[in-house]
Amino acid sequence: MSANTTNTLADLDSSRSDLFDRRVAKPSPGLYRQAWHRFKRDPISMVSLALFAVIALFIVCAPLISYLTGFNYYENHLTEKLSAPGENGYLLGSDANGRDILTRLAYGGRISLLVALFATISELGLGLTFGLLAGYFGKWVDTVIMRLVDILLSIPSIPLLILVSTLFSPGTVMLAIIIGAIYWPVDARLIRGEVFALRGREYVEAARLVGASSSRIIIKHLIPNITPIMLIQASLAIPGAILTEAIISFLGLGIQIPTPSWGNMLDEASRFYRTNWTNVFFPGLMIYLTSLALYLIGIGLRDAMDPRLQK
Amino acid sequence: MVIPLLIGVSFVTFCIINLIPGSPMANLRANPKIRPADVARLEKQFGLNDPWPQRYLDWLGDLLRGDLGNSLHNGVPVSDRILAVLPNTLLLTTCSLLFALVIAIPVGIYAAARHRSWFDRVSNIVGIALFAIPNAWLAILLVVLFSFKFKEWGLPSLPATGITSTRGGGGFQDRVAHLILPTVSLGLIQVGIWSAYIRSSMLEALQQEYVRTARAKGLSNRGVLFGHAFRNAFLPLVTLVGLSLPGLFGGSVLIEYVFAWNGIGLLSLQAVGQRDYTMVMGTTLMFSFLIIVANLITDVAYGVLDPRIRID
Repeated sequence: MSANTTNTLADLDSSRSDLFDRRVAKPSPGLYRQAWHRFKRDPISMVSLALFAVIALFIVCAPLISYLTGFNYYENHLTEKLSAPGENGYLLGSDANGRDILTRLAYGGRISLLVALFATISELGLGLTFGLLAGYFGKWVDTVIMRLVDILLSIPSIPLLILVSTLFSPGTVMLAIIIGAIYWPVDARLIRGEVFALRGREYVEAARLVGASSSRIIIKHLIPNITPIMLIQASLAIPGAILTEAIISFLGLGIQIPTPSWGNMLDEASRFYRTNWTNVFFPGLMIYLTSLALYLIGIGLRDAMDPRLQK
Repeated sequence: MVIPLLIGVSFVTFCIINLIPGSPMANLRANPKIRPADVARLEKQFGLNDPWPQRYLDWLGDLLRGDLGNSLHNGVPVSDRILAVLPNTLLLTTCSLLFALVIAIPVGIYAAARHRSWFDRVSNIVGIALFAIPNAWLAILLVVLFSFKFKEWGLPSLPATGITSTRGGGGFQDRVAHLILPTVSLGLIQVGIWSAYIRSSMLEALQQEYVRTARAKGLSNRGVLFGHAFRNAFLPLVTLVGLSLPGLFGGSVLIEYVFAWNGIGLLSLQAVGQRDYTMVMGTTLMFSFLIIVANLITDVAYGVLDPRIRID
């Protein structure tokens, strides 16, 4: 396979200069390029990526969609409420206040995805911090943190989220942080395991012998090598966060109306499922397709970066 | 192992509940007809001025005696209400678990036995398609189809809400009819993951030496599959089921909400609506307790099923 040979030679060159020019051991740039090449070859992953790109485009172009449909996402048209798809000029129907479902899906997607993104960032931030601390410093720090992780994992996430959301009535950003604060134990455990594995590598030991401080080792050596794992975990955590936000908004505890989010659109629509089942169908479909696409991308990424498949 | 975990869970929940701004005395204080001296007396009586370790131990003591406090909504003891609805949640979760297993295991085994056949590929895709479905959405769509559309079309329809209904008569058949849709919506999502898991662990088991030996000795395909490969592939599934339990309990909250199923999930949501913090605490603790017990059962089951492992 000539294409591969060229790549391998190029990688060989860059990794050689890597050895000479930098004292820091990092995964060579070939890792990400190789992963992308493997990812590209998997049809399911590429289709999911395309699907997610379409959805992201839909969301980003929300104002454009609003302009094209002629409706905005917050005005009430009570005389045309609960229209069927195609009726009264509403492409996907209208909700109980006469607002256009299609436009609200676009704006709601922004909120849902933003919350999911921030939740994943805070989840990974917390998980990284605790995982690194537990994995690197070991002994009692590790024990304490892992006990905390066990405890938090024993409380099922949805009831815990309900409890916290009831008590603190969070706004959008706070909600994202709370979702992150509920799911970080899984990441912490994963990262701790990785750090344990990496702690014994030669370059870490060499750095320690040369006198590098703990923070230097962590920042310059451990983090770059944990990054692939974190990327994969992030791509699997985002759809989880989307589903979580949808669930908590569906229960009325998350994003408050009138701000649209796919979850609370589902909630509002579910009161009318006897007459307007499409109002339930479309928000749920968006949640489903987005999280499915992201999950498949995550699985594809994981397979693409799997070290066991590398030559 | 279980006891420290329970104590830890109780402590975390205690911390969360104490972070609420305001105090139970806030309403009394705002009332000009109530003297500050009385408020102070009440505070002392309820122990609100005690240092928090003491409040925690008092609370824990009550907890261990089964006293979860009284509902802020109607004064009923929280534990009474929770225990009254607990069987319904257990029924729903157990049935969903069994439903998912009953479908996932045969599908997984067959997919492994007919590796790379169309069945394998199709079940793989269907499994992936199923596991990202939001279960509330699935539940509502199933209700729309099987309750309303079927009734419109004149077909026998399934009931949409509740555990029993007066029209159905409350007997066994009625209960089963009411159980079908919630069970399917809760369990269907797990089917994909579990069948994929069974399939891959069966594939791994089928490549072992003992399988080849058994086949060489003339054992039939079915004997190999069920007598040897499956028994070894089954064990990691027990762990997987254990790991899915928190998700299953969380999902049951939504399903109970959609189907007005009188269980702990619905109770906690009603309590949330009524700002009944005592009840919400009680239900959260009950959920954690259920998870811990379920994990314990999983560990014990694992030890029973696999003679090589004995849990200390």
